[in-house]
Amino acid sequence: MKDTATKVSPILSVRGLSKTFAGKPVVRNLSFDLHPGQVMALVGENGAGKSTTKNMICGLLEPTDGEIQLDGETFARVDPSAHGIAAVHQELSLFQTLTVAENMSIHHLPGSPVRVDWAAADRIAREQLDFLGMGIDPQVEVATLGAGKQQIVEIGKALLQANRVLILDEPTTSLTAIEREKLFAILDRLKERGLAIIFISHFMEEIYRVCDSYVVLRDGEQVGAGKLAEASRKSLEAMMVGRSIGEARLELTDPQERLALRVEGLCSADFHNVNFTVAAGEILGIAGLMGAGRTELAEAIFGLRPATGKVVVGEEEIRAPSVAAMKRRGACYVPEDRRLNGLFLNRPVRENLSAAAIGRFVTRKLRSIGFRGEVKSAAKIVDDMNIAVPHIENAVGDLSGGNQQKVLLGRWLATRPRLIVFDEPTKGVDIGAKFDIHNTISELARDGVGVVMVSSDLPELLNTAHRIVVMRKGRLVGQFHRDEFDAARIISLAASAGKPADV
Amino acid sequence: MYDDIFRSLTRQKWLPIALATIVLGATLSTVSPAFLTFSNLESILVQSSVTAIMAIGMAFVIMSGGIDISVGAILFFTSALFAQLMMDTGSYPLAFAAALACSTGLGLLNGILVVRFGISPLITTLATYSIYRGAAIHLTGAQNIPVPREMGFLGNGEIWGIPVPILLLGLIFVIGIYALTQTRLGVYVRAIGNSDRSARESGLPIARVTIAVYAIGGVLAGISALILLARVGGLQSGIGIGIEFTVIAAVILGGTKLTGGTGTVTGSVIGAVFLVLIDNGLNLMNASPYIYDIVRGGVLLVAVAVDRISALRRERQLRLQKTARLRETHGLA
Amino acid sequence: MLNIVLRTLRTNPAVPLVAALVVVFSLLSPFFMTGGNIEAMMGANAVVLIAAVGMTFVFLAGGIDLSISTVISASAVISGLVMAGTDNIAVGIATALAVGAAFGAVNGLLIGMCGLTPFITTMGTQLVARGIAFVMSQGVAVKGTPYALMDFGFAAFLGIPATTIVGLAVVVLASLTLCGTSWGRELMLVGSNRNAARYTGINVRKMEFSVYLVSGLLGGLAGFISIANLGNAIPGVGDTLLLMIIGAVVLGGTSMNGGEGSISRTLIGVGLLAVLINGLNLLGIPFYDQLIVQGVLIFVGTWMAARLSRRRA
Repeated sequence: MKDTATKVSPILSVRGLSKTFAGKPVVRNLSFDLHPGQVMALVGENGAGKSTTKNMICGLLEPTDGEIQLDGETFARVDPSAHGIAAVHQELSLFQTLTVAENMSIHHLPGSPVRVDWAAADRIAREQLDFLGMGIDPQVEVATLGAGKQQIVEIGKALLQANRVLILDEPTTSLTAIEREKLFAILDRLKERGLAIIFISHFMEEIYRVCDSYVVLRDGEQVGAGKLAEASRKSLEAMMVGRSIGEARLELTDPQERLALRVEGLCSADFHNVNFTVAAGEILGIAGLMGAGRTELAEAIFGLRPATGKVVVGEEEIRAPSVAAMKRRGACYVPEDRRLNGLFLNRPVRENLSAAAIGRFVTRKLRSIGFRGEVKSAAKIVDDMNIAVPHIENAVGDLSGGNQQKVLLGRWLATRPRLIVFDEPTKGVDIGAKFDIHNTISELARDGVGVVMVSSDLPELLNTAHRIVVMRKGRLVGQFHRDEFDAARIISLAASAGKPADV
Repeated sequence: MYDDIFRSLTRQKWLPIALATIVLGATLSTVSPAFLTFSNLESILVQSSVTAIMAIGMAFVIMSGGIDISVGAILFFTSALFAQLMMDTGSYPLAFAAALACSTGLGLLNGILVVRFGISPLITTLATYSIYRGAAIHLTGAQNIPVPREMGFLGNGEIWGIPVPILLLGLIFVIGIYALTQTRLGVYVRAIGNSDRSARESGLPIARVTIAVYAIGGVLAGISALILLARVGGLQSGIGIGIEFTVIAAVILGGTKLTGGTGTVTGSVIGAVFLVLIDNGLNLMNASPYIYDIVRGGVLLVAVAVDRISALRRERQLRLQKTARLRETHGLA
Repeated sequence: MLNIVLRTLRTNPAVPLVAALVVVFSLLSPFFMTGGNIEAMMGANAVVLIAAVGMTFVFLAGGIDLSISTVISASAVISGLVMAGTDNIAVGIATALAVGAAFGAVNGLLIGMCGLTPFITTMGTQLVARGIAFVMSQGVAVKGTPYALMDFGFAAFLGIPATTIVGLAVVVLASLTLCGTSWGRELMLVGSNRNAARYTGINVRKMEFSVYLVSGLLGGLAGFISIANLGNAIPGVGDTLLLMIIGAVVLGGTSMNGGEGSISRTLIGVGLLAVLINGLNLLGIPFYDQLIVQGVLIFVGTWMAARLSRRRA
């Protein structure tokens, strides 16, 4: 962008922007310009620093270093409403029980505090929605709208504040093809209005459809920027993936003949007709974008979500899957959100470690009420897994992310599973713990355990998996064996809009 | 035109309780011809005025995601203060001003404690329930105090042929609806009750709104106290005991969710009337007064069960919609 | 040993409070530390203690049981009627427990299996139980309690009333169940994080059902003990106890949010309220001022307990 000699001066220019969390740099030395009527793609893999960048620009975070200039003026921290900047985050911020009109103007309700001018609020909402080309009744409760319409309302709400810069974070993940086209038409109109847009997305087609320029982030660093017309899709993807392609891989042993898991024709509200198998001793990676239905698939296998289809563990078909039923057959699921679905934060490490198999420690004799051997077993897991904890009676909530993850892993490994499904096993975990966890996983496979690994961290999958299947919008669309792993192809398959191929 | 009215009517959360009330009323009128007389209907409204007014306040508290167990104690304290002041000074202006100021103050205190100390509203107001009740008896020395006969006007008097409690209820009802639908406070209450996180992110004045709803609950308990005092003729030791549960029941029956974020003033009032209708019906059937509790409890259980069933049905519908979307995305029939 | 004492003091604000109250009251009133007074104080709180144990289980699992107070009344009345007819204590106990279990099962079915809100559901069953207590007794105390049961109510061993011994036995048993069985452990886990419990393969619905069942059973037992204590089955016996029961549990430091607390803390909480009320009575403080002190204590105690557990976290 450095040499784009545009007559119009930029609305937003960012120079040397950096952000450090607890001494760890997340974004380093980012610089770009954003002009009126320009749509800039901010691309990179998960964890590359896109969200942090977004939050700095819309004022939720204060940069550690560097400056943000708005209309040539420098600010340490952005006041979004004063500068006409607004963001639509991935996680929607609408009040579900309020009407569309109420939601859209909640920041600046027209009229006085004791008499809100609902006619005006209605008009504003209606105008905005009309402009967006959506026939949404401003009077209805947001909860009654589908995900796509809610997204549009969210954008409309953001636009009421943003007359200069709009940031969209993965806005299309919950949209159907038709809704997506509508959104693009809206973006075109906003461009004509002179708005500058930062578009964060994984989908290459979309980026080429709506964006003019791009900035690529990798591990917090800006590895490329320029006009989209001058960059091929291949080169963009290569920039995103970068060094990880040639990285050293784990040594894996060959899988056995015996199947550990067979899934046939699994269908639900989030995915359709999913088929795959995992052999004993095999690590199967499931790649895909957020919202592709991977977590839902994993949860459905364990009966945590309703689904129809066939789940076979070993030789046995599980008629009514549930975590307990799967546990009895030596299968376990390590969920993605460990704070929400995994750990008992206010309970001690010991109890967290034995939670999945408390029955093992119960002695049936009355005189020895209690859990025989629990302390010893917990201490052993802590030792084996290299968990840094002052004492096994400390609450799990006090531990670092990596150690929490190891506790969760340790809990399930203590049940001696023959099949284990990981959902984002190294999310929010530091490098050291990540290394430990990868080693643990490969050891499991060596011992003949079947492993399924859902991960958004592609290098991780390339490093640890025997085989990778790609999921897109609820369907499996491709499969790669270890000798044919191709990061760029996997990314483009996960993000393309083309027809799904049969696996 | 009629379509529009029909559509907006079916959207109202108070519709189920309104229908239930009509059905119950119709049943009662077939059982007893005395039921459908003007004076009986009027007396039902008068009887429900106290809980209905308090239910309006409770609706605001519950919509904001809180609960107020102490309203019965505020009602009792206000009655005690008013009766005592009337006995000591005989000054109506003073007693009225003190009663209203005091009930507002007790409500404010609830709000401030909830906001400032971060203990669950249930425990906080359970504690203040005990404190307010004790303080009230302390104030009067555990005596029953009659109020002057003119006070009866508030309870039984009429203006333009309409009983005063009904007028007051009507006035507060209109103000309540106005506050909920036309003011910023109303929007903020529902927003905060729906999502604390989003409310914080949007920079809504959470503390002020929370304090305000408890203050509203307080002042409405105070007004109810004056009506009740006028109707029963004086302070009695049992006033307000257990009324908090009746009030909460009225609000829940009316279609307001305990989880907050949504609710209705109209439904809360109808809920209060419904509960009186039940009493009325049991009375007509000469049922033992002890059976009332069983019926009320049963009604409450049925109401939550019906609510749960409809929520489950909605969930199923959303899942079906999602499945349809997925098929549409992939061009599957 | 000293370490344990210090840790208890730090994590449990009610313990030093009890100690302080005991010292103050024994200084102010010569009767306070007499055997007779201590016996009376303990006997008067056996019912609350047993019910509070039930409520503790429910709180630990992340729920609330408002019905426990009037389940006490209903089971007392029905058991009283049965005993008046049969003069058989064993049948009386069985009846009280059965009534309690029935209410607990209804709560458990509605909350655990059907997923209704605990607060409103138990508010409903509270009303139903109260109504049943009054309908069955016609609003008056049920007479005809077997003499043996009255004797039991007056009996004391080593200065401890028999009813209190029953209460303490319940505490010990409950404590062992909570800390020593997988049911107790899973209950804690469900209360700590319901989602995580589900993802760990714990049958959350069954757990919630069973916890309300247990709470109902203990309500039934408390109702029976109330007959022994008062000599009659009183239909309104539970009405005023709800505040005491919830107050004792939260004062002890068991959180309403679940997964944090213990039975022994509830014992301390009941002890604190018992000492307070008894001491204030001895000092001639009228009941209404006691209400004020109780309210302030419940609020401040809960706040301190919440602060302490937050600091540890």
